[in-house]
Amino acid sequence: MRVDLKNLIPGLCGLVFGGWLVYETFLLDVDLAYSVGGGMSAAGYPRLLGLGILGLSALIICKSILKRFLERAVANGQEESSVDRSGLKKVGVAVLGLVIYTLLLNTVGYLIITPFVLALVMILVGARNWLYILATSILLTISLHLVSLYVFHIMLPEGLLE
Amino acid sequence: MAEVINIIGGLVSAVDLNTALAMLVGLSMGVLIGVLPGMGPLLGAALAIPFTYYLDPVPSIGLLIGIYQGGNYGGAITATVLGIPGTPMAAATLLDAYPMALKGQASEAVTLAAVASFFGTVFSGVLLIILAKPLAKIALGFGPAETMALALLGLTTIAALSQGSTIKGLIAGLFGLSIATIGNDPITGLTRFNFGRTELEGGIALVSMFMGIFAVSELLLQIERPVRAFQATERVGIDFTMFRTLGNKIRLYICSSLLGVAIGIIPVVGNSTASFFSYKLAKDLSKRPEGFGKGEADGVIASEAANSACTGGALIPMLALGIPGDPVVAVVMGGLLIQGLTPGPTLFFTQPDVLTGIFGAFLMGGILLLPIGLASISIFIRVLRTPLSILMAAVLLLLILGTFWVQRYILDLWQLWFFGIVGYGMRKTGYPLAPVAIGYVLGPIFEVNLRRTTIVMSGDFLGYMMSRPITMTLLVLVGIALLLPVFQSYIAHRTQRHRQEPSGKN
Repeated sequence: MRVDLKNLIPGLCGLVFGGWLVYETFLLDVDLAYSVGGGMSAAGYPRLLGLGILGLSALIICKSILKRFLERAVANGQEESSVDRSGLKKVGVAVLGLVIYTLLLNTVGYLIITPFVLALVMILVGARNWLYILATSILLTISLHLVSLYVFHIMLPEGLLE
Repeated sequence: MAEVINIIGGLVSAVDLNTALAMLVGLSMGVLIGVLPGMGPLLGAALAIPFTYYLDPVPSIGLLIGIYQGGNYGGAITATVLGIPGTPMAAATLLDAYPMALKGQASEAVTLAAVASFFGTVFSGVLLIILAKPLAKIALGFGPAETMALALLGLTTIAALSQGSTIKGLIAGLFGLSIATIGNDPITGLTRFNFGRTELEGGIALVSMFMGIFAVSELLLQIERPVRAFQATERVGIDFTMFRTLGNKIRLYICSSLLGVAIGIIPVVGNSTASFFSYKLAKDLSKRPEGFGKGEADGVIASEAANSACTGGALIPMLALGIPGDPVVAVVMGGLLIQGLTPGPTLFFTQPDVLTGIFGAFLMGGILLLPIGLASISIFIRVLRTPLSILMAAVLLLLILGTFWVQRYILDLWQLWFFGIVGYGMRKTGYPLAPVAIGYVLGPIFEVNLRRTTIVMSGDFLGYMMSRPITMTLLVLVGIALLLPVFQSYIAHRTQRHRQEPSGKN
């Protein structure tokens, strides 16, 4: 029986999120959280939301498993909708690049690190000419830095250039 | 008389330089974004949100409304020239605009689309001014139970009737409501779910959340599957003879615009539905229905007028009741919240000058849409040739800086990427994004009024609800909204089974 990952993974994420939300509401200070005059407390409302997410996510998972159980096996062993692994890899690389960018922004500085992340995104969407990638990423970085400085009067992180 | 003077005063104040500039920038940006396939006014509005911090209330909302209006029209240019709708709402326009272009009538088609958009927008602006305040006056009499039920109706309708499964829509809505609980509790002030960070005591940054869930997720989708570059080679200009249709086809303009406003008022139904409904109605009532789909001017008028009239219709429940009818309007509502203004009935009486300024800006946008739309045709067609890599790099940098400019917190960037990844995952697995945004903006209103209701009813739920007929009616509508997709699915299943049954028996 093939597993319907498209519904199972978000269903599990929903269970984790809903469970975490309900758990956290029990850690809130109940005495302080109780509304004056009764009624739903500051902990009660998010708890209700968490239980709703838990219940609906469980329903999604059950529906997905039941649907697969009742469905006939895929004819002739054909693959169902295949996942575009190369596309997902590119997204993974982009996300990693953005995470590294954010970690290093304050330390290295906007002017130094931004062209790298822009170049990365340009390569991932198909640009191949290195001169073109370099020129575009540097020009965009500098022009928006000038807009930030002279139009909005906001200093961007200088990092190593300080 | 005083009302009329107020409205005229608002319209005049909307013509101040800042608002006029904001509208011009918004309209131009909106048309540009509408022209580029895969972008759309939602992305444009999300990108523009950080800039609203630096503007006064009326120009900031004018900027967002301009993007909304321009974006709705811009898709028609791409639909005509390339046969691809630049935005989903231009899909109905394409049915006749592209055949017109193939017959060498591209200039007529884009001009007609501009004229119809102008008419629809201005018409809906007038109705917005007429209807919003009376609706707000009715809503002023609402207590916490009614407000809670109204917020629930808005959220449930959007969650249940969005594309995809109802359960997924409801989960998305609950997720939006949940992230709105981060920060200080609106009633007791207790800090909730802030992970020990003082930056989160005010809640999740609205800019990071909106830009992440809509714009970053779109960026990641484009990285996963880049759209190929387009080549628009057709020379397209303005055909001034199309202005004559404002005289000889005025009934079609008015009917299509009325339909657009009516559909715009209903949450979630949206511009695409309005344009297809109007197209179908125009075809059914036309003396030449066989011409539709082969380059019939009435098809372009009906779809564009309805699509543009939806913008005014969608603003009516947002301004009067505080219930956003679609994701773009939710972003506009976010713009109001950034300015410290809570949309809803009280705004009409606490900040009437701001509201009349918004009405004036909307009307000004409708009027300016015609010259900007026409003047920008040949410019924006050239933009279609811009390589995707440059566009994506520019969008990414605007996302980073737009988020950073607001509070200069690196934590806001982390939130941006978090919501971007969540939005990407939701899009890949069939979860709608609109309920998350609407849950987030409606969350505080819903929570406060729900908890107030539970205090007032003191445990006697049934007795209290029986004494509130409006609340009961709204809750019944919530039930209908939840059951309607189930009913529709059952009917579709039965129809399919009926078709599959062998015809005739021995």
